[in-house]
Amino acid sequence: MALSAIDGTKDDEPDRTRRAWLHVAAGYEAALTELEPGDDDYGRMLRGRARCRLIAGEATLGMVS
Amino acid sequence: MALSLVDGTKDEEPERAPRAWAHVAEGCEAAFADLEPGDEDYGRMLRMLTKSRGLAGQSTLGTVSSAIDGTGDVEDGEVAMREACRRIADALGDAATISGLSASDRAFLLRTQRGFVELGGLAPFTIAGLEMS
Repeated sequence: MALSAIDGTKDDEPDRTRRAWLHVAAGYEAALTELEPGDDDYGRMLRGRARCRLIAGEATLGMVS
Repeated sequence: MALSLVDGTKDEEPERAPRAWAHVAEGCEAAFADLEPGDEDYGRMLRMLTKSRGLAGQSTLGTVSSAIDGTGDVEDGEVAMREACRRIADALGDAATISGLSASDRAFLLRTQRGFVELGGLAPFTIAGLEMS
């Protein structure tokens, strides 16, 4: 665990958390390549990707445009 | 959209959906490269991994046997699962540290030095000193 030896804080956690959620967003992105609009889980995958990107601090406006 | 020109069905969809969820599971697994037990989203990520693996139709027993010997062989049935649990308990021993645990109604997911190990349907049992019920 990336604990500071000096003060015990985990000051890099926000960056690591962001990267973690981007991995999951990439998983949803790959999942969408297997599906077509109208498939049962298509909307669920879209929402999952948007949620992960939002948690990661990515702009959703880019996705819309 | 992959519609049949003859009857309008999407007969390949059942295979595509598990593949799609397998991608999500892979994304969740990759996420753990950036997380540590105790991080805010660690448990949430474990639960997502468990769920997406289930939706992908990935066998929990296959995951267990892969963790033991890397073969990925899948055996069916509860007796085989019990045997797999006994084998993984033997294989892990003191060499593996269980650093994460997620429990749902039917499965436990462990993060160990050997990677992720998913166990289902056999609680209570003890692995590497960690008792689960």
